Amino acid sequence: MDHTMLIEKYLQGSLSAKERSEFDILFGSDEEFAREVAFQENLREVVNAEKDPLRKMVGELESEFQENRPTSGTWKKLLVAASIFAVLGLAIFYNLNRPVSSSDLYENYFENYPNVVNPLERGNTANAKDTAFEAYETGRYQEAYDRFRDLLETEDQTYYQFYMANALLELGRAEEAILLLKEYSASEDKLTDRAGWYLAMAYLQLDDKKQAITELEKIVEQGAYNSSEAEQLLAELR
Amino acid sequence: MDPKKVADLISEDRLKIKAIYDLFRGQFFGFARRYQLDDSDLSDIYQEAFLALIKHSKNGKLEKVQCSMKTYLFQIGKHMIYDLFKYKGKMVPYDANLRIEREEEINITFDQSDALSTAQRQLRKYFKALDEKCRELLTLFYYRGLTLEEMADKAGLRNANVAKVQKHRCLEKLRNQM
Repeated sequence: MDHTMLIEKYLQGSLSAKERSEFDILFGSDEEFAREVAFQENLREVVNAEKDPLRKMVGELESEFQENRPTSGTWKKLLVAASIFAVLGLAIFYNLNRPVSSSDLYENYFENYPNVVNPLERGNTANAKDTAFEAYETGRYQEAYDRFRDLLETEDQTYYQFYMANALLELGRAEEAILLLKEYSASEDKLTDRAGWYLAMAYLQLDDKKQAITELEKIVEQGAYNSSEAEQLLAELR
Repeated sequence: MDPKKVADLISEDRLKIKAIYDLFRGQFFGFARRYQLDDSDLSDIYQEAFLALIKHSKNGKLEKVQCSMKTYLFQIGKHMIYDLFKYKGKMVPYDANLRIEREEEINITFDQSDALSTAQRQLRKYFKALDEKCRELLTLFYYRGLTLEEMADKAGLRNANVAKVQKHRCLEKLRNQM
């Protein structure tokens, strides 16, 4: 039987016993034939993979990640601005719809962590780090978040995660902030001990009082950063 | 491994999965810089490794794993990076091997069926670059498992013979690029 036909039938699982032994002999002795079988088997995997919905989703996540980077194109800037407004709008909407207590407490207690790692000096030529912190200090949190994220790719400084989390809290995206803060608090960095307080803030933003209390109790117990404020806040929460 | 994160991966909640994807994406690129691969290779590998991570979470493989999700994911990625070097017939940069890992090395039994191999990912690039007609024909044959007659019918070709010739032409295009 002609080789192409033999491989076709093999892939479709319709080889007869006689054809099967012919296939096996060829596969063991003819290198070119074996290569062709491997090629077509790979192709079958590839074609099947294209139909995998999970793979499709991961592909989309990647394009979204790449599209979100700051670029010089104006329309992209507009998109970023629009998304900031959308996020702010959502944050306001959620805050209006929450029971007064949690969001009031959050407003009273939350203040983003100041830039202590990279003091900005006016007039110097700005590097990527300065630009990121400048965005952070002037309240352009989405831009700051994107820039810190890019910096994290090139520099091995985990405190960028901490500032990213702060930016996310400002943007009302506590769930994402929590992931980052947990990741950061597992590292041993100079600001690690501050992560607990902001974790508590994130839970407060989500109106998850139980988790917020757990985090605050840890702070008080360990006498960690902001423990006196934590004590005060605990009293108000209980 | 952090059960909350594993639960997020298993959930069908796209936002939760996206948060994890984004969380490790930058760090992975930071980690993988030392191998001096270009961004498209790294992005390709990160996606494949993340996909494997989701699949492992869904089939319960992560429950018994002791290390962090990040370490686990990076190990899969590293495995794929080494595979890519092997595929390209190159050596892993000497310098990269000297770097001491901050997180512990773990041995992952990596089931190849959860991910495309390097050769398959390469083939996938060429497949996606084919014209639509070819992609359709090859999908009908390899995914749907149709016969040449059925393919001709579905793809609006005159007869099985035309389908055969067309399919051959498409395969030839792919082979020439490999």
